[in-house]
Amino acid sequence: MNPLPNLKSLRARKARIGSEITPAIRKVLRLLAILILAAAAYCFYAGIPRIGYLAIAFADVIVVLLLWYTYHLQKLPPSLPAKQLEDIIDPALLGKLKAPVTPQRLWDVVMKLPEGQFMCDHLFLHSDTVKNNLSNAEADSAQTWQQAYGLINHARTPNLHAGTLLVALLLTSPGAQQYLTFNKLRPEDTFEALNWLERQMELWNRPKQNFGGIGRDWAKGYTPTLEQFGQNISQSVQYAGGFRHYVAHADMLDGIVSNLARGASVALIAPDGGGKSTLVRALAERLLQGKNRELQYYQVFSLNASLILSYSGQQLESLMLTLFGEAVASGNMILFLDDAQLFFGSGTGAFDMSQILLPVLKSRNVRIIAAFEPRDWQQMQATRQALTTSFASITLTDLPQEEIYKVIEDNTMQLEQRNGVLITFEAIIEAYRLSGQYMQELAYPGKAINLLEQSIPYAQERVITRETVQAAVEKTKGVKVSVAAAPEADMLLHLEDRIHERMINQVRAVNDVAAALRRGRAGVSSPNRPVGSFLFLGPTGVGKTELARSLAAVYFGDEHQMIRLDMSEYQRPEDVTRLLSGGSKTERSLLSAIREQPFAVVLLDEVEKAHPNILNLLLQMLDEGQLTDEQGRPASFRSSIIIATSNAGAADITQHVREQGTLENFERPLIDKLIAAGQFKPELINRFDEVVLFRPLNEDELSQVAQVMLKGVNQTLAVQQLTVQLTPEALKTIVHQGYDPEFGARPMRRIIQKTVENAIAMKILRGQAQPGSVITLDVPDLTQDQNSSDANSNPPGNPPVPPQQTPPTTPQPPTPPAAPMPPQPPAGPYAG
Amino acid sequence: MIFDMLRWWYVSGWLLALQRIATWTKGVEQAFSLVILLQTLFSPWKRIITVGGKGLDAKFHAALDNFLSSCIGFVVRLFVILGALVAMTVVFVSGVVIAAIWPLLPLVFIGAIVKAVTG
Repeated sequence: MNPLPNLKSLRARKARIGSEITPAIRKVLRLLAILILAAAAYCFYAGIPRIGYLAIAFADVIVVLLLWYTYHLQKLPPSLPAKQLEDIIDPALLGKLKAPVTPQRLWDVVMKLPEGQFMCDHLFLHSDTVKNNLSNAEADSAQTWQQAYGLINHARTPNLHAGTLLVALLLTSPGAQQYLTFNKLRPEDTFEALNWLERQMELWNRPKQNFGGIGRDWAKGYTPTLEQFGQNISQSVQYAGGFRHYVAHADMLDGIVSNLARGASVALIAPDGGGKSTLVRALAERLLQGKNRELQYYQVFSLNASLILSYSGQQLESLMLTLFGEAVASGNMILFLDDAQLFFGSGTGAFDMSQILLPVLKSRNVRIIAAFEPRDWQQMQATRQALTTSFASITLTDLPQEEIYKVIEDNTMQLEQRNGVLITFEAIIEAYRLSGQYMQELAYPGKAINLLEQSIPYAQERVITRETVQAAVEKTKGVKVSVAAAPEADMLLHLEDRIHERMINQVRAVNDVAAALRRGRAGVSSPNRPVGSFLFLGPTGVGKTELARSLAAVYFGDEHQMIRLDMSEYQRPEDVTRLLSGGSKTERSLLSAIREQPFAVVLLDEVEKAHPNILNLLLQMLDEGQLTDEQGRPASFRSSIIIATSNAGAADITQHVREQGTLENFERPLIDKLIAAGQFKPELINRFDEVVLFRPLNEDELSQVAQVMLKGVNQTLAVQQLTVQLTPEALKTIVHQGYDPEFGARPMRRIIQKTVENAIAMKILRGQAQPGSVITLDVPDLTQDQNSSDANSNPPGNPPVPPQQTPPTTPQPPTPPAAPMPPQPPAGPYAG
Repeated sequence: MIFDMLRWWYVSGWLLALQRIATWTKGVEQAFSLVILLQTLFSPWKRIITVGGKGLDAKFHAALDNFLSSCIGFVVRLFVILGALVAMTVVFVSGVVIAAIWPLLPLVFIGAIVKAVTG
């Protein structure tokens, strides 16, 4: 076969004639034929028959030409078996080809045809950029044609159209391939887009089906109530000339039809978004086609649950009886109950119609298709066995990825038409990926379609791209999924500095956490696990909780983006239920909290005290990034940072720091010791990204802590134009009073309140503090006001264990700059 | 090119014109659902039936109601069947005429030119 199409062949010449007869020309020719025929008639009437015959001859030529075009040239089927390349080239494409056929000129031709435009738009290609990357040498087009011919072998029809040629042009030009890579598109993506186009062409070209008219309509009885409370699916399919959509689970249709044909009702079981409604519509089309004799004139009628359930009590019961009565009298009705659990007393606003439905099902007077979610069906099986055995249950299995893509692509066309937008192929890929990650409550393909729908309001210039879908997820789910842009990337690069603005020392802990977060945000770590998971070990009051809070503030933008659980409250086996309850209970469970706030720090305090069953659940949470509630609904932790804290080994850490001065290489021996002591299981420890050791604070660090807290006080006083400062002696006193060997720096916040804040309050009330003044507090100010306000506070005469006993171990961070502190932090830097 | 066009005209094109007779006639039959109308010719109108009571009188009234319903159904359907048959005949005849004229159309040009020249 010649690698280039022969543009002088008969088929090529016919295609050219066909492409030259544009719709406008056709209109003119039709009009001309009518006018000439009218003129001919006039000529015969006027007695000039020769001119009349001449006019008829002209009109006849036009009519023959138009008929030849309409029934032959326009379609010009491929000449099979193909002997030459042009035998399988689409006539619209072949008709526009003119020598010399260079790749650049081919691109121009492709862009003029709807198939090429579809591919270019949906692959989101910049036409001029691609064209500039193509060769302008005629010899190079042979490779393109060869590639296109190769693509035809995998295509559904032997038709080399503009879409096929576009893919071939992209794949045979190194420049165009680079452009694709730059746009994060793989060659396989272009193949999938081509398959999408061809499936759509098949649907568009499918002739409208005629399912019968007057006689069919009269074959069923009057159903006025059903029409008021439901929708005749068969009728809508009939009016549309068929169900022009890709049907996944098509193999299940046979099972449904055979069950219905023998008079049984069917329970369709699949999660939301799993394709139940689509399958029922496909069933309606199948029945309309009349291939099954038993169900030849049956119509599928969907009941509107929300409308029906707006009635209640006796009224509702009577309505249900009327609806079933009409369905029975109609004689050829299949009722479809979408969200069927609402009719069986499960869920909000539900009504239990088991007693009405059971006799109907048993008598087989009316066939019903009831759609259930798996968990509702399981509940039904447990509570209403008689009812469930009356249904033939059909479970829709999970679709393979390629099937899911077909359904999403098919629905994309509807979304585009309905909303006047363009949804790019990369947006489809992203919707598939992100819906899998963040919409676990729904099933494929529904959730991806749902996400694309949610992306429509965020479209820019009516185009939905990968970034649009990411924006929709970020706005609706409150998570960050897009590539970190300039300000956020900068924040991530300087995460340690930002944390140290609020956090004194613990340099090693901060570095470990920051590195893990950068890995997570840059998309280097697994997307199927939490962004980061850490076990913080160390004595009380050294900053474990403060680091968690700082992370929430710096990484998630607000320190309240934190879900905090005291695991010492989960020590009994029955506490598992409390932790996992789906939110229907009064208490807010971990799962309901993470559903509300998926982008958060999950802080599990005193993790070692939780019951072993709960620790086993944590294994799943750390491993798979999700937990499942009592109803079987998953909740994702994949956008959160998991931090577990524990005081286990605190004494060892303190002793080690005293003896060695550093925690370098101490993690492993400590972990081994904790495992040997049975405080932690190795499988739990190994699932954390990092085990971070916190060392006790020394005097200098405590002084910095006090200064950070003082900054918070000044932030509050800024409203009154006041500033407070401490003399070195006063600072030393606070450090001594704020440190406790058992609680670390935890008492510091209380001491500052009772000394500094009290002292300032007294000065303000006595009129000793004027706006703009700087209040300097010395030791007497603190003790005097402290004694006057609280005689029970920690007196200087009862000194704490001097912090200087703890030698400095790690390098000191620079003194935190006067930086963004919240106006009044709810807790101090060392409230851990 | 002209030869190819004529070949299509007298082979595939003419066959298409003949096939259209069946397609069009079947289309009209489907629009009226003639087969369903015939199958349900004696069925009660819109499946409106009365279920008989216990007494003889009630049974008689029910039978009378159902007979009336079937009569209405029969009359309505009969008229529609007649209408469908007329429409199908018209479409069929039109299709036959077109199929008959089809091979003559290219010849009309020659005939008209000859007539124009010879008068």
